Amino acid sequence: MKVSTSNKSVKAELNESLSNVVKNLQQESSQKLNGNEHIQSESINAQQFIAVLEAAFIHGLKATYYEKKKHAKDLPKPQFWNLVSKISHKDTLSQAKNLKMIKTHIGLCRAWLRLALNDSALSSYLTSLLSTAEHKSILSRYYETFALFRDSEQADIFLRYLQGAENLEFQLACNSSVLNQWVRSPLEMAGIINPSLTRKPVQENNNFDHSSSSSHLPRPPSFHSHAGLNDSLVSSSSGSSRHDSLRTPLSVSPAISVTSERENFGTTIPPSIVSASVGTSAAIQAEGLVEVEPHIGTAPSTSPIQTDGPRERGSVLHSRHLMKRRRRIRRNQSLDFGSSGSTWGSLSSLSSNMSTQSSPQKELNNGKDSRSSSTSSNAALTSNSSDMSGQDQTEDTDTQKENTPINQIMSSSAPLSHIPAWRRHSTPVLGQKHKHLSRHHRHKVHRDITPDELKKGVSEIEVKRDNDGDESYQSPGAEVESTSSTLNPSQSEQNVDIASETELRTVPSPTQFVLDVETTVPYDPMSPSRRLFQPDYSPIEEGPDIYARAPSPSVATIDESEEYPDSYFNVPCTPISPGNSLLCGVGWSSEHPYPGRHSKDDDTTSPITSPPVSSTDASSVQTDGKLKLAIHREGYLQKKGETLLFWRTRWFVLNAETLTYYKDKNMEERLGKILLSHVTAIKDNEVKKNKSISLLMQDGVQHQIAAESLKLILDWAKDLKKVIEIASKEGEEYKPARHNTIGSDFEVIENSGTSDRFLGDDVSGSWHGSMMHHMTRIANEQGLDTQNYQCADCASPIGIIYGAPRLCTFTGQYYCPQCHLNEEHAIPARMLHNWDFRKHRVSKRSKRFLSQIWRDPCIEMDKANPAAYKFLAQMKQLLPLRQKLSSLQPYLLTCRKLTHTQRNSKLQGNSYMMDNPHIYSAYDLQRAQSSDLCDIIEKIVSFGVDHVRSCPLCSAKGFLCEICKKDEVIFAFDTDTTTQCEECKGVYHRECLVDPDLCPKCERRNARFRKQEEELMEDVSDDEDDRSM
Amino acid sequence: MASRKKVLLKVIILGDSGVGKTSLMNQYVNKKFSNQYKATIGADFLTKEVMVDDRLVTMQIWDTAGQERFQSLGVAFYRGADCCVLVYDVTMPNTFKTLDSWRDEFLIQASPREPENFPFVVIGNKIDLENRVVSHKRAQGWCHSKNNIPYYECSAKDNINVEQAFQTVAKQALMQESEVGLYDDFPERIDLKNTDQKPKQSDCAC
Repeated sequence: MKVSTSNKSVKAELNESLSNVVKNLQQESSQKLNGNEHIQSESINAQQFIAVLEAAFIHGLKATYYEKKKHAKDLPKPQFWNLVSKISHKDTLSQAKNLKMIKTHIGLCRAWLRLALNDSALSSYLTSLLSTAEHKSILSRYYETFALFRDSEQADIFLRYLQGAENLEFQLACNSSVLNQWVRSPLEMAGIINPSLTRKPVQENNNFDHSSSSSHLPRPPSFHSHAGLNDSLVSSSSGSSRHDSLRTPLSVSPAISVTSERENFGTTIPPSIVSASVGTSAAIQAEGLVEVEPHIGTAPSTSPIQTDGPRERGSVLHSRHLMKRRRRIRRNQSLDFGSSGSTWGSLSSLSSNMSTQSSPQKELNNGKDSRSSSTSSNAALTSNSSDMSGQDQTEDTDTQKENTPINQIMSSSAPLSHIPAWRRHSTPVLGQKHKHLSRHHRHKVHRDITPDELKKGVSEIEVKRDNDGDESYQSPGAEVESTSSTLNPSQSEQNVDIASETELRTVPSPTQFVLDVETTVPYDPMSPSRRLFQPDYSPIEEGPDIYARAPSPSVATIDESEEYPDSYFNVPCTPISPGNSLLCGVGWSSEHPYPGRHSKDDDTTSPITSPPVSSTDASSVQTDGKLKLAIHREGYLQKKGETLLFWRTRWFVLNAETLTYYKDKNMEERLGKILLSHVTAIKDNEVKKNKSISLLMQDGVQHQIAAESLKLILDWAKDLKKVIEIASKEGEEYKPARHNTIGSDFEVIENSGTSDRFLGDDVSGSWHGSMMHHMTRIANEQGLDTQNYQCADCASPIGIIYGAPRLCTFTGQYYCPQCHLNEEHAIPARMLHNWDFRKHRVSKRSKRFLSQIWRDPCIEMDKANPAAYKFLAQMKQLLPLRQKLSSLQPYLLTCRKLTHTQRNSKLQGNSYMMDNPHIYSAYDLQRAQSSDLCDIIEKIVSFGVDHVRSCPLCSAKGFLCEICKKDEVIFAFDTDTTTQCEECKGVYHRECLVDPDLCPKCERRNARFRKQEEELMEDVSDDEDDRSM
Repeated sequence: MASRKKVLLKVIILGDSGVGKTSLMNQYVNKKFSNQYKATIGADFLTKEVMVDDRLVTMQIWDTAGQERFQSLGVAFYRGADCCVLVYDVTMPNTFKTLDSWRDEFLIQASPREPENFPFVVIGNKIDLENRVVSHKRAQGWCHSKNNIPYYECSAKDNINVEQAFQTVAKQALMQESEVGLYDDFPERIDLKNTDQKPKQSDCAC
């Protein structure tokens, strides 16, 4: 399990989202005409609510309670059934166990949660769990210390919010195979998984695109779809159209775009962004589908309530309701993919549309980005399946009949002729052979879809079909708000125009439509998100065509992560935020007034997350009076190495307060991150010269990045500046007074008193002394108790209720989140002893210390780890070089023919290396590991040797072998032919000095010394004689 | 005398650190003196042209570091020296005692053709100071015992006897050099000179 370090924020988010959801639930129930109507599973709020609860239960669950994944790609499988069985009444347990569709522990957990809600017992459970002493021990057994439930304060808040929903009556479906697996949203909310870039985190409600569609029009809170068929058709068409497009790009039918979701016209998100987000959400949905267990035909046909997880159902629902609102929709058709897509997930059809419209053909065809392509295909499949199921439900047999309406529908929005052929022929099949159809399409579309997936998809369809039976569906949609709408007024207008055009039924021909779309897309060559999609993207390659269309599901520029900068980066393997999209979606609630222009749906209450922040657009959204950053940007840039000053191409992601760079856009290998709050200045004085800017860090480090074009780098600089500006503002607000770090170079002294307290017995002396001690000795964790549960730096309490302490690998001590930003640094002692050059997390102070001392030659290899010379090839190689260098030192230092500047230019600050062949700085070790140091020293040595041999003064200071007395001048650095006496430094030919112990010079010296001692007394008397004379 | 050619005389100044080797050289070559002590690192030389016996000779005076720590530098420059100046501080008895080892070391490292006859000059420096410890008699005695080395008592600070000392050095060096130099410069005449001068040299050295 990856413990996201921003547990605090996750907890806060969970609480926040819970409060929002509860509010929404209360609103929902009050809106019901009949007050005692139950809240059903379909309710979007209910789903969010459950997801939050699930997230709370799995947050901080100990790793031992995670089931093994069958495949690496599987979602983590936390399960708290053991816990549940400890606290629940056995009747409840047996009730859960008796649910026939529930087959896994996860299913049991999730079903239990729903049962508990239905019984209105959940808050009682939680109360007892959190407050009784007996249960507290249980908690500690099941949960990590950072868990929400073990954070008494947060858990209390959570409970309070939960109690707010106590009086609501739930009627949630429990007996569903969907529950057997986790869906992403709770996991994401709990910070257990990170919404990956390729699959955009879906918000809880993502499935309910219909809600978004309804958002700008007042809609009855619940409407039951009788138009399911139509809807399904539409969505299916959209889904399949994608396939079509794969084969022939021009065949994209406008109908597709018309299909579903883009009604929120006024909500003008820059289309590009929108599309990206849409794509991702679709992808997610697809994922959700895959998650569903493939019990074909086993799904409870009886289920009056919606059985499946939010996602699976979503598309179906969506399709069902879609048609109802088709007109409205059509109006806004293509323009507004954004709002709905970005906010509510199940845009399967939309996504597929998007992909057809915009995804570059080559990408899809090449399938290079297999991930994205597969996800997109999944999405397509989803939509297919969903509508199929819908169709099934309504009219299982009369497919032909249905066919006509479909076509009509399609034609209404688009000329029939444009409808892809496949659709025409597939529709009849729908009712009869879903399997065949889907398979057929799949094969057509993507070769890389595995049979397994296909199966899943099919089973999915079946499940859906079963589930669709329920009529009690409540539309949650009214609250979707297009947050994005306000962002870009000009654009929105443009969109509106187009929209009105469509309203007038001037349905553009497919190609034309595409063009329209593209025009609305603000062309931004730099949009990293789009770049992401270029399978073959190389940093140099930028062209309008690449960017003008690109969004594919995988794009999904993670914007949610903005709110979780920490956790985002602290999960080493998956460099993506735990992104429970809650934060970004701050809100389901109506509390967040969105600044700027509101579209006609302003009156709708629920704002949704700000749309995935555009790659280029930086906008800050005022929420709760707090500036939230909505800046996201990614792309390839060049970064100058910190150690080797080479420029290397890296994939940069700007998110919230961090600029992270990866080896490539797969973002598998994170190479570093730059905390923008630590950037003191951005230097762009060289930007014209080499298209580069420098980020000056507090600790003096300078990061230089460059782009291929001036515009690109300027855009980056602009965004970076914005982020830094905001970050610094926030920093001022939130910085604890005692720990003012910015610009205080004297902090070492200032805080030494506090830190000394925890130095331990073995460390004597100052803070600096202890730090130096750790330079060559790997610190051991001492345990929180040795620190008295206080931060080793600021002495603020840590651990237990104050949240998880952060371990500094350098000092082995624990710190509070203020003093330990989870920054990373290589640890000299680990480098020295373990040859471990990985970066480890260190406290703020250690990091500063390390970066200060990084180049100080303070490691004596022969004392600290003499074995290194024996076992490490690099060190073995270095030793003779360093010895040569040190024997060159006297020449290079004393020769007056060698000017100071000459010498320095050669030595480049490495002069200390000549003093002692065993002395190294941490930086040297790093260079030694990469053999860079070896090269450098070799160069210096060869320069020195050349000089000494050619310089008359230096060669005069060579040695003569006093054994063979040849005239040949020899030097100590001629290690091949000569040998040097350690004692007297005399140099002899190797063959002349047979026994190193018989150094003639040493013998003379010793003899003299003896003689002196003997004569000591005589001399004294002689001196006296002299004086008397 | 036979040759009016410009000759290069290589003179090495040895002695413990702080005895005033550099000061003597500076006084002699540049007529300058500084009270500030600055340890010589490595070895370096100054050159001065002087008239010796109507001959213009160039003296290449090698000033060396007396400090032990510069032993890591070789003394290949000893080789080919024409004269060696041993300097001690009259106020520091130890610096006088080590003259022996300096002389020995020089002879070993330079390995002159005839170590016994190699010309040395001993300079007792800092006679301007009042706290003199090493007596003239003792120094003179030591010089006598070492094949009658010419001995001078000087003060680099007050420029006492410096000129004379180095004049002797030049003379001694020239005598040594004429031999070696003729070898080098006029190989065809070497034989003659060699046979002529060798016995003479040995006589003179006494």
